[in-house]
Amino acid sequence: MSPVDLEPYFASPYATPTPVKHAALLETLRALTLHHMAACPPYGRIVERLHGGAGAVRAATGLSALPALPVGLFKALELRSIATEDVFRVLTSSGTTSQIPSRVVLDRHTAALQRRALVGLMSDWLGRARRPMLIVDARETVRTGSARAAGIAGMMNLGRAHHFALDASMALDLDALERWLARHDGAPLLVFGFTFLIWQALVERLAATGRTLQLPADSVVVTSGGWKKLADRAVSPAVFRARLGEVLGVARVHDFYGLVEQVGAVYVACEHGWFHASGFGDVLLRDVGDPDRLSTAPGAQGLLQTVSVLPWSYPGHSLLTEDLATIAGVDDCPCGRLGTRFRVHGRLPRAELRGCSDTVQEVRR
Amino acid sequence: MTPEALDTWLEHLATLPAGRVASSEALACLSALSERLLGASSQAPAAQALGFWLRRRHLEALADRVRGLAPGERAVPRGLVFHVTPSNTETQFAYAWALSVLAGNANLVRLSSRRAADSESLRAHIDAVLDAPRFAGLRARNCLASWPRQADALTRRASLAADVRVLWGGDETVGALRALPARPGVQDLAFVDRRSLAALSARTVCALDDAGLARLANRFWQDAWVFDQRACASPQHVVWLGPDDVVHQASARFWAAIDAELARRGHRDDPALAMHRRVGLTTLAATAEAPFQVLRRAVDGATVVRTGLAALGELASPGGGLFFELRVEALSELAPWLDGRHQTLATFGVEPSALDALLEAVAGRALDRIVAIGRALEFGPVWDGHDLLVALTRRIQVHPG
Repeated sequence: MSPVDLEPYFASPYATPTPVKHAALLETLRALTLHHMAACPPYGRIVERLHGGAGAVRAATGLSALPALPVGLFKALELRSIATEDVFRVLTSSGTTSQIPSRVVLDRHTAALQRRALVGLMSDWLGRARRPMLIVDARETVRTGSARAAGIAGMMNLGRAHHFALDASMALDLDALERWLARHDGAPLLVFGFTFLIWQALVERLAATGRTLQLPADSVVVTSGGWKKLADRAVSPAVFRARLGEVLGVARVHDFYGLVEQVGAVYVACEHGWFHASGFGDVLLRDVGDPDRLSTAPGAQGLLQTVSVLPWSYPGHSLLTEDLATIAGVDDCPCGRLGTRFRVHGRLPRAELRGCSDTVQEVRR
Repeated sequence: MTPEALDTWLEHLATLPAGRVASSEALACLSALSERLLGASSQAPAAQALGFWLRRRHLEALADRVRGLAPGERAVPRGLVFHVTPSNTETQFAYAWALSVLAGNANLVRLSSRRAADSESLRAHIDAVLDAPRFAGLRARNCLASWPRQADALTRRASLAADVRVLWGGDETVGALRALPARPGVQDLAFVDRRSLAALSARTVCALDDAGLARLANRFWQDAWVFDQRACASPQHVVWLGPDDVVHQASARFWAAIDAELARRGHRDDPALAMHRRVGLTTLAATAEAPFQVLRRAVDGATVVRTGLAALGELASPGGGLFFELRVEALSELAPWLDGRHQTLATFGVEPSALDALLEAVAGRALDRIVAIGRALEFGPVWDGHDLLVALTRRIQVHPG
């Protein structure tokens, strides 16, 4: 079904030079665009009416010439390229700034691609063996269907002997945690949680009790959710890293940026602080004032566009996010991993919509 | 505002003498507010417009209007008016509030807790005027407060105390507010989801010289870009009258002039609003059954989609300068496609006979006002078909034998 052979990428997601990756990437994304135009009539209309139709898609000579959907569209419409009976899973997630959830429809095939890609990507950072996994959240969170729940559920595939550090009231259960740590004091651990929770519920709580923990050597913390809330408390990524080293004895902390709207959009930051695009796609930077153009000024912030070869059940393969970012280089990171390296600076502020109506009316078809 | 504070205010209100219609105190107070708004140098256009609207001469004309009665008829206030204001059309509430002050009512205004800086500034001006010692009487009878939407108890209390409820907010919100318990004789003035359009004669636009075209563009800017095209009176559809070739020419001239006007003003799209508009445009492109042809997408300018009559009912603009353009030979062709949601028609170069024909064909099913382009956002005492001064007063009939 897919022109590009994904097997090498599942095994080594960061080993392919970008120019080599791009030839197949363009053809796969072109095929995906045409596939979704035929299989998802609303998407077909979007490309016809706003992006020059199939002719323009066939004539595109570069990634930037292919259409990109704004992520906000998935709150307004449920787009699918499969029959109802083939729907295997619907990912829904509330954004952090809106009560209206995005909806993403997966069939078995795309869901399997998603799982394999996540495992393949994270294994590059964590090794192949499943690590005992500490989740800095409450078990109850996973059932909520939120973006946070989706992130946790995905990451749980990478660990075993999962332990949720927080109880239902989001408080640290230190006794239970220490018992679990005692049971897993040999092999390196995986710790996963959202940045503000790790800070508030774990780091600050440990500091208050005067306890420090010493996790096994080579344990890794993977964190997600951005730095804005912590910036309000003057906690920078460097401070966060340092404190985790002090209270957990952990040296490796990796930031994780992902989009529930795009299967395969999984970006992990290396030890030098750069998010890396993988073999499954790439990122482009769009001009904030005119997102139909690429951002050209070097070092300037732009709107991040992310492409992925994995979304086959719904037209999510090329998305314009609402995140401001800078691209620092391609295939040139000191960490040795190939791919575009970038930094995310934060979300575009939510529009303060004027109007006589008190609520924002969204139409879901 | 807490429930206790509200109860205290209501109890105190009950001890005060009733207000009078068009009192000199009310005129002086609103006039003082006008001077403040016009005098403050850095006011937003909407606040300036409100200040101008409240100027002394206009207030006196409104006072005459409310006093202008049939023989034997007297106007008295209705009592306590509870206003629920829209979020983020910062000055809208102040028009209805001012008319209610003129009507002699006591007023409880619930400001939206989602407020832009401009409405905070306006509230500060109003409070500053009311706090002056000479307006102590009005101060005691006018309370502007905000509380979260979830604070049900406060909203219910206010609803029960009200003789009139002025409800802004769109269909869903107003529906919920209406359902709150109220006095049996309560009067509701509801302002719900409305949309608006503009109609221009293609021939007249083509005949304009550059200066005239620039003036037209300036006026259209007033209607369409103030409030980010999201007021109920902001034009979403632009209807051209005339034959195909003339309309093409007029349209091209017009939108080029709009580009120039925006450039003259140094307009830059707010990136968040532009993203909202992009999502809106993409959603429409995905789902519109009406014809849909993107004519232009100017950066920091107008986005125009060429469409047909069906769009009048089907397509709503997300705002931020996204317009639907269509062509008719005669204005009355719009009639079957307009409905109760359509509020304002702003016109340029349209013959009065064409307007008559349209209104005849519509037969009251749609349209509350027809104004010249440039005046769409001007508030009038008759709004959404309600004569506010009449609605905010009681008319007593005195015909003793």
